[in-house]
Amino acid sequence: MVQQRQLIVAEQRDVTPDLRWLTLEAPELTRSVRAGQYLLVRCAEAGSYDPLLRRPLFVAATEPALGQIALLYAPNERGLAWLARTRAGDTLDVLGPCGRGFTLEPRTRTLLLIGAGPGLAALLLLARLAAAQQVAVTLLAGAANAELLPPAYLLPGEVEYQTFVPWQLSDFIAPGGTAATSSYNLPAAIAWADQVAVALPNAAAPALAQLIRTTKFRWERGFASALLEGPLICGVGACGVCGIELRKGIRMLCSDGPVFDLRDLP
Amino acid sequence: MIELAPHNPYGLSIHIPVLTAAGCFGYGVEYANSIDITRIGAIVTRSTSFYAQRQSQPRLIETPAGVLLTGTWPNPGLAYVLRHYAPIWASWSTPVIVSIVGAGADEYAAIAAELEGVEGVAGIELNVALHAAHAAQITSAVRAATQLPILVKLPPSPEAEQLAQKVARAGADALTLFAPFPAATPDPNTGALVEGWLLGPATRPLVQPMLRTLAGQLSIPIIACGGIAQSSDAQQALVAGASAVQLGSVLLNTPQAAFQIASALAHYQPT
Ligand code: FES
Repeated sequence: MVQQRQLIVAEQRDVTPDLRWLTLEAPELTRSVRAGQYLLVRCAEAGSYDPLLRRPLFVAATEPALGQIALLYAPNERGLAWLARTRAGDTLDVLGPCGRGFTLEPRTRTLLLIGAGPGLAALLLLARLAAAQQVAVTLLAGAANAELLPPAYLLPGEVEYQTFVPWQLSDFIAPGGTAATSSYNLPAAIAWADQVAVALPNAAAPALAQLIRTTKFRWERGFASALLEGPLICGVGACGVCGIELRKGIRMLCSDGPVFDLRDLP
Repeated sequence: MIELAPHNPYGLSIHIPVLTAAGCFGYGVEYANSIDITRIGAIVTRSTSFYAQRQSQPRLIETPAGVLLTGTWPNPGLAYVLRHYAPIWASWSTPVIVSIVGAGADEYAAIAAELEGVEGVAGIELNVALHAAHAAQITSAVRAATQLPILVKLPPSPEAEQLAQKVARAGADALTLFAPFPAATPDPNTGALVEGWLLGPATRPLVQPMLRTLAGQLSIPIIACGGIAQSSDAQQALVAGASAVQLGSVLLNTPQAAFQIASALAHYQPT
């Protein structure tokens, strides 16, 4: 189900020189949207189809009391640059929310989040939702430069937030699943966590899975999930561009994911 | 009602001259819960081969007012489609036209034979983009295999006029003009030129004059396809001589455009 909605911009501001925080009036979404779900935002004037494709943006925050949701993005290409010029009171044409997001397991009391890139926005929402349920949350965030990292004030104060700049995937996880970072004890963090959620380049998944395998004595379904990268065009599995090979066969990233249990990844 | 296969024993009547184009609306079922499918003239499915095509890595690269498709498009294969989707189509009042693709005339004919008599399948569209030179031969083979209405989607080319006449003589009931344009654009990641198929509103000014020329020469219905994104675009195609239009890339942006444009054309009367 992909619903078309006209959402009004409540506010838009820079949270760093490279990141925009876009707040939308969306009372009907504040309680239903899940971390890891995304909106397909039309980034062109009405009547224009340039650019043709919508931009997928993860929901980064919900404020049920205000009836608002927020998106976090880097306006680093022409569609998102157009979006960055919209102002309070403008109406945006969006489809969604789309896809399957993260599930916070009822038994989870300690949650480890690891992210880099656009998927970090989804982890912000997951951190907020988990903290609201008294879950202890650690968020490890990496980026090429500090301006691409969400500022700490976007997170609840009780979330432990560690940043890594400049960040390389191999700082966290070396090929073969050994913990490669000299600055952070990732195996200890995995051992601490009841649940792990990541939004990392897809190449990290096998090594992360291996690291979990060697760190955790038992690794149950639901313990670790990953938001995968890839094209998110139609949001419903119709156009066929986003197929990914999982252990159980081909799945569509846009509608079966973009969040998958790490155990299902090849 | 608009008849897209006036010489076919089954016929192919649509109540609104707006169809979805192959590849941009899945198998229709993906949108059944979010779009009022009864308000669309007909649905053309994703192109389907006899056996599943899974190992492909298709890409969409954005271009000015369009996208370049590269790679081959996956599909779950005919048996899966018939088992999972045809029973759903059978419950719809909107006709479903199955787009088919094969390695050669034999595979096209084999698929067509399997589709004959399947409840929920109102017609076939032949995707011959990779076999344009053999389009007439493929059409003949499919005609021999089924009585279902056959649409043939031709690629745009200087030979389109000749090809269209040949395909019409080979037994096509209607022509879809046109498939996406062969094109190339730099890969945004590497800068290397990538070849593929261009679709989107950017192609509409190219389609329009070719459509006008061909419409006056063919005795079978034409369905216009290529860059139609608004109701005014659709009206221009109908004025140029098309019996109906297919919506493609616009549905990647806004699937609801299918019924928005259809609604705008609901009372359109050809002049
Ligand atoms: S983006 Fe269209 S099928 Fe996934």
